[in-house]
Amino acid sequence: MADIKLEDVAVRFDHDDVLKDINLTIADGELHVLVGPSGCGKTLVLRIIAGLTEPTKGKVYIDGRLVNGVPPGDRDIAMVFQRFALYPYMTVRENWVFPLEAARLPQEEIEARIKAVTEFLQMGPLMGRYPRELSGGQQQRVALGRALVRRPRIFLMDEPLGSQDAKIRVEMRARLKKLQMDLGITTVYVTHDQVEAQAVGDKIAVMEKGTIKQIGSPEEIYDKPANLFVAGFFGTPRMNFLDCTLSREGGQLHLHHPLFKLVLPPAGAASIEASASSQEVILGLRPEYIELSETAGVDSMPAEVYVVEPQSNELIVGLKFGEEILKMRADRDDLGFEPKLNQKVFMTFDSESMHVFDRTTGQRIG
Amino acid sequence: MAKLALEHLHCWYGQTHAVDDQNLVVEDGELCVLLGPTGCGKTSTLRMIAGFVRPASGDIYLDGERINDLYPGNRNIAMIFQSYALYPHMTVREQFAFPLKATKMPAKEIERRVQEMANFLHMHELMDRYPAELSTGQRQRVAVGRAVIRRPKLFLMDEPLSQLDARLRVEMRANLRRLQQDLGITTIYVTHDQTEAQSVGDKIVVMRLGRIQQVGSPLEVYRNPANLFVAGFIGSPPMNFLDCRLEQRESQIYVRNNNFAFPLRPELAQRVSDIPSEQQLVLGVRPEHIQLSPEARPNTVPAEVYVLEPQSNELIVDLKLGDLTLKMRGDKREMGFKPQLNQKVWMEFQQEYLHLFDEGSEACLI
Repeated sequence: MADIKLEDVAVRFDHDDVLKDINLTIADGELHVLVGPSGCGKTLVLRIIAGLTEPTKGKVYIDGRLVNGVPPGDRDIAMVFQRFALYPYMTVRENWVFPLEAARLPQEEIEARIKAVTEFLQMGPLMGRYPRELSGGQQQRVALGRALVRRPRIFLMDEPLGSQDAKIRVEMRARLKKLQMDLGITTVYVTHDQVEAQAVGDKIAVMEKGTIKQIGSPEEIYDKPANLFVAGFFGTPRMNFLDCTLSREGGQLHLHHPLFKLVLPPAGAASIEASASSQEVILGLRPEYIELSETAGVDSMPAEVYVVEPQSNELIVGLKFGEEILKMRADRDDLGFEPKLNQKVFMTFDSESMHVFDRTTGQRIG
Repeated sequence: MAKLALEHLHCWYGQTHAVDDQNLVVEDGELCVLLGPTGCGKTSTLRMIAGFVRPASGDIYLDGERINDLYPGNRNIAMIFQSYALYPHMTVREQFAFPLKATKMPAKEIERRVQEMANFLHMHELMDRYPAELSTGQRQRVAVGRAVIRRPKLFLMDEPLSQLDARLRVEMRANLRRLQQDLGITTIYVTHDQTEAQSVGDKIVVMRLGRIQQVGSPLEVYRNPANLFVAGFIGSPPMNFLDCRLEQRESQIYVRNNNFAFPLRPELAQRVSDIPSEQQLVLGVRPEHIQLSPEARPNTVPAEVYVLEPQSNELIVDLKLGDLTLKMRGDKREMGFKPQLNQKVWMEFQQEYLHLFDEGSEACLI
């Protein structure tokens, strides 16, 4: 059992707050992702849990025990770094056996663990090789394997699939998720890749500039982003943002844009009005919830096809709408027509899937 | 503006046959992507066209003229590289004018052309800025502008987006696509990224080990792959491959292996009627062409939910079926139920999109 708790953790380097107000609870057995652009502080949080960096303030608990000041070696943590740090004079097998022999595990147990990890990482034919004889991706798998054979209380992984090519990464992330689940070892997983974060995480903490912007399940983060940063960070292509103003007319709340006016559903309207700091808001629309038609319909808006990108079973369409380019994406079969360059088309927004943000605070208000 | 033709092109590096009998026609104004993994010969092909590498044999025709023996500088070809390689000490205006000055063009004409390019790229306000003062997108436009201001017959792009982060890459590829369409200059685009290739290409040339595997539109290579390699390379997560055979039972043809059997629909059965039942086949089914249901239905195949990966509006589900694992993906809202870990589910393959490959030759049979 190993849950992790960070309370009001902050780090100052010189006079810079590189981490601020970090409060994080990671349940036992959970795979918790820290995701954000480079420089957001995600690796630093990992280092604090590992004991490699002492926070300037705040408390770190592992399994209910305060661990500030406890050296890394006494925390029963295995870490997989971006840089692999393998023993260069040891074969793959020796790299894996070494920590287990050091822990004086019985020989049978060592063999069983090595076998399981060999299969998981598909390293069978490479077990006798030295690190220098392996590709970057293979070396990364060796590093991952060395952490996995130890079965510590906690795994800390820093971009563990960063050196794999796209295809292997998609394959490995699913297997890693399954293995983590089967082992039930609490894992903190750092990545800059929102696709990977959604795929592997039980929970995701989204970070920007040293603070946590939202914590939630992948579904919560995607369907109910707490602010503009999170909304724009998740999803490909990213959410479309349109500056709008709120106004109440005849008992209904309207969203005004120079090119359209929308009535907000009464259910959400009250809370939007209550939480908006001014009339100035931003409407957020995911590309997959813009519908396209060749003919005008109720509440449809004209736009012009600016660019068409085929993508497997889907099409991504860039739409010129006034001065802006909006993106929509849809299954080809569902679209029902093949948009042509410069064609005039009509968009409708799915009212169930609209996001409204306060333009001043950037916070979600509906 | 020109048509490019490669005829029986070969390239050797020592013992390595880097490009093996390449035949390709790129039409005037077309954007043709050379796509494949490292070592497939795509960059060697590009270099032969540019004139940096001499083909061992074969001919290169540009606009009907054989250009094999022309120096790179005399081929009237422009190129942009991974790093845009802008001159850091020159303003945008100077970057544009530079290639023209080298041709000893009259100053008036240079000025006119630079102005024209500024109009075309919407860069008026930025003409006196230095590269360091531009955004990534603006730098890309400057690089394109500088390359095409000489009005080359052919435009070569070598992984032009590979140095950008994922988010920016998605944005830039659409811009580049539109820009190329507006310019109308025949373009060869090299990438290892199948997503990017589908997005930007009029035509995709899939290469492997120096040989062309297939030439087709993005939809063709996705929907009608010529062989197992193309089928597995295009699309993410990749197509599922399952060993199988055909079996005549009563009046129906079944696809069967140790784990499942299902009857082919009549129109499909007709197309496979001449495949002998002893032939070893590979069934190819894309993740997006598997439908899941929580109850058994006719002609479905039972499986168990093994891993769940949320991905934006979609869900990627790993399914365990005996010793096989398959991936399916679908829109969360359209799935109709929320798959749970270890749940027993039933798969239905969308038969209009099924493929059968010959295991020996790897060729696509249907």
